[in-house]
Amino acid sequence: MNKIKLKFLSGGKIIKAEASPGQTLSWVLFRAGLPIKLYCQGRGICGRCLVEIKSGPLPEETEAERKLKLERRLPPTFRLACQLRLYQPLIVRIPDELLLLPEIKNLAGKFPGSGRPALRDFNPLVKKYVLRLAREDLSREERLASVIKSTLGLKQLAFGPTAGHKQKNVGPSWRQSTAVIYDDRLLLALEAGRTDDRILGLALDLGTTTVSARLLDLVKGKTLASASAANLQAAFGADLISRIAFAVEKPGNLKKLRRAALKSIAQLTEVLAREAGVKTKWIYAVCLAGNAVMNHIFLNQPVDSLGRAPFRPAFLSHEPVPGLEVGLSLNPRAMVFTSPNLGGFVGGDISSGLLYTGLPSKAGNYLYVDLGTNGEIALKKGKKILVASTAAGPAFEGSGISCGQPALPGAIEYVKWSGDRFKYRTIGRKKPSGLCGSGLLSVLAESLRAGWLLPSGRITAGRSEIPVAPGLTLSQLDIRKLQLALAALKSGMRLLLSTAGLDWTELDGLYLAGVFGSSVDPGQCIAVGLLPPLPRRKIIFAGNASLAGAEMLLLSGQARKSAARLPLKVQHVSLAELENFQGEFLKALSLGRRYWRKNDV
Amino acid sequence: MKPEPNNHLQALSQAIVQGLVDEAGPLAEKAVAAGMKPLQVIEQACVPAIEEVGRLWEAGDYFLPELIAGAEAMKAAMTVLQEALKSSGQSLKSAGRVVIGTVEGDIHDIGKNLVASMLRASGFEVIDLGADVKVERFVETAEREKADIIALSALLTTTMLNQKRVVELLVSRGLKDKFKVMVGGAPVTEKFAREIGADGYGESAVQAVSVARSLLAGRGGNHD
Ligand code: B12
Ligand code: FES
Repeated sequence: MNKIKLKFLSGGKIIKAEASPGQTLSWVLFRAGLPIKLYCQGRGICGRCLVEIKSGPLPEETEAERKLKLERRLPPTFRLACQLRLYQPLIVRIPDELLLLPEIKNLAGKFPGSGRPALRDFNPLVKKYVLRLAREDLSREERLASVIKSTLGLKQLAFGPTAGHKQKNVGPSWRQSTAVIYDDRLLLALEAGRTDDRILGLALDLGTTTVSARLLDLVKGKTLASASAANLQAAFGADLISRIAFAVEKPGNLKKLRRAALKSIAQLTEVLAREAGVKTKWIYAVCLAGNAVMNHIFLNQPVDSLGRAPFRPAFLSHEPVPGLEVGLSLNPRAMVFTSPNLGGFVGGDISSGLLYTGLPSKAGNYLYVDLGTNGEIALKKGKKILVASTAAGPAFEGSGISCGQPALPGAIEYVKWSGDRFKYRTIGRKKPSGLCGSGLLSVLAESLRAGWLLPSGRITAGRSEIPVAPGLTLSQLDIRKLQLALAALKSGMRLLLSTAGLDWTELDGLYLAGVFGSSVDPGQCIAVGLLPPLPRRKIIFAGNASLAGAEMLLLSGQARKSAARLPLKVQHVSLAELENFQGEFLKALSLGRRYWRKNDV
Repeated sequence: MKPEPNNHLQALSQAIVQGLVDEAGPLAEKAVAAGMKPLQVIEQACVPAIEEVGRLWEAGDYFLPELIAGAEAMKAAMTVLQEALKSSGQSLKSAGRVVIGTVEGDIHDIGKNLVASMLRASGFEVIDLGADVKVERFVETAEREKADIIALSALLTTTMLNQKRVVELLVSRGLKDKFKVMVGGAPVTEKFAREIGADGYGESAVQAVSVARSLLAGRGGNHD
């Protein structure tokens, strides 16, 4: 069959590619190493995969494209990459913001509260010991094990899965060797000479859209570098459910997702290593905090059960796995420790976040809320911890909101009503280009105060939109979508409280986690009714708690013990099965403080 | 003020529009007690009121709580009026019989409940199978109940495919012409509905009513 010749203009470069007739542009881009974000998994409904045809015969428009253009009045050269089928040679411009290539951000000092976790002990997951060995110690594994055990006073010692510790050519350099031991029980490697000054660990937060990582020196317990990048899985769908749908569609798809995640991690690790001036092969331990779906994909476990009711994970805790087995290219003998899933859609990112806050062992009553798409909530009362996920959706990431955008430079992040207009502040003090989550929340709070909005969510004075900044307005429909997202979180919190027989006034503290959760103004959260009106000092920002928790797991034996026990302490509450969800959800749709009033019936 | 028939109708109509669930029933009783015909009350107060609720929803004035309250107030009034009709030996002609549910694997039922309420409020008989309903059960119930419409709700991109499976089962059993299939739920689109061979798609609970009506507009009817 004749191949079609294509040229892609991207990031100031020209990339050549070929396609078979009838292939979609998005697939060809993926194959050409230019994966793009497919927000609706290429179903032609989100209209966000727009590329520009610079030259060549314009292919016939699909119905999805026609409809979108009627709505947006786009020029005919703007086309949906997921819909366009190729039959003729074309030159196509791919906008930078559509690309999924690693856009690596240095995270140093980025999130409040996610600096150094408070460790109760310093006991890294892998350690190195210098040993004096005789030639015959190295000849047999049993002998080597018993020598190491007795020298280090270990009760037991097994050999790591990629054995090969038996050395054939034992030269003088092996007299002094360095043993790499995982969790004081597993010999991972024996290195010739004295290498105990360098051993690294990687803390990973594997999220649906973003992967964050931190590289640690496990000798000193020091952070060497932190960064984040896009999760390349987004090429297969933007949200968790789309990923699940893709994974179960065809055998082999799960593997594709896993490879995409591994690629993101590998790219990120390279960057971190370069930044810190170290080698990736020095990394012997990884602690991974991934949400439930990511944990499954990473560990090669089927995700089917997470895609339909009753939404059960295939596992909670998982044995540590050799990095090689899951395809991580670090030191070939590295081991991976995963933070446990807690039930339903509440995954390892939440368990590690909880560990970071120290909440499982604190006295008192605490709420932990991750203000993300999944809206996970944990409530600690006495010895019990209840968890749930509320599926708030991506409205507060700006998705589906007419003037919404991710928290990037130019996004309005805060507003104040001055009596005749909104005064706003943008990220990076740039010209405003849209509103990010905290900005949206801020507009709601100030609109309520200024009388633009009724508690029912209706815009007042017969208007149909709220003008925020030149060219940026919040429509009635936008507000409805935000109400749904807020209601999911609010009703989730309240139902967990009532399941535990607790009133919000009895809370000793409330942790806010996640990037959005770190950028909101607590006063405005209370004003719109997202949070109960607790005194300011009880609202604690936990930042990227998942990553900080993963770091803690790398460094502290106590934290790892806690992690192992956590699934036993936790009870997952399936909100859908609670009889009063609908009533609570409908009540929670109202804006303002009223929802948290006592004796509200 | 003297209890004028028109005042009763107006008060009832307002109670429904404002979603005053506790007042709608007693107001309907008063209207009947004042000597008005139940059918007249339905046609002149209830139907215009629920249509007004729908209009306010479409205009963006009303949101879910107001819509639900309106539908429930309507239900309270209709319970009273149907009782009154029955005791005078009459009965209300059903607008159609609908089997509704959220498809297998999906527990989101708020939207489905809303559609059911609005359909009921608009004179449809609704058999609600709940959430996470197996494909088979939709078809079996529709056959047993001699339904006109099968209404399917799905909120997940994974489970919307089960709407397709219902249509397929109908086709394979040669029942496709016997029932109209109507689909909805946030991820469902008109295009998807057409692709899977559904007969109708509604974006909201208010639209669900007009779609159901138009689906049955030219029909002979499966039941009497
Ligand atoms: C409330 C909610 C829940 C509740 C559901 C409670 C219940 N009993 O229904 C809870 C918290 C339990 C829940 C759980 C889950 N949810 Co949920 N949930 C939502 C939420 C916030 C609102 C949905 C809703 O009720 N809307 C209001 C109703 C009235 O609207 P509607 O259903 O669209 O119905 C209207 C129309 O569509 C139409 N319509 C509906 N049905 C029909 C049928 C016909 C025939 C017609 C004509 C019309 C029609 O009329 C209705 C009224 O106008 C959305 C996100 C959002 N902000 O929208 C996520 C959302 C639907 N959930 C989602 C997910 C993934 C889940 C989970 C599977 C995972 C998770 N993240 O926790 C879990 C299930 C696990 C479990 N067992 O707990 C995703 C789906 C993503 C996708 N790509 O598919 C969403 C979009 C959020 C997100 N992006 O993460 N969820
Ligand atoms: S239209 Fe959504 S990805 Fe193309």
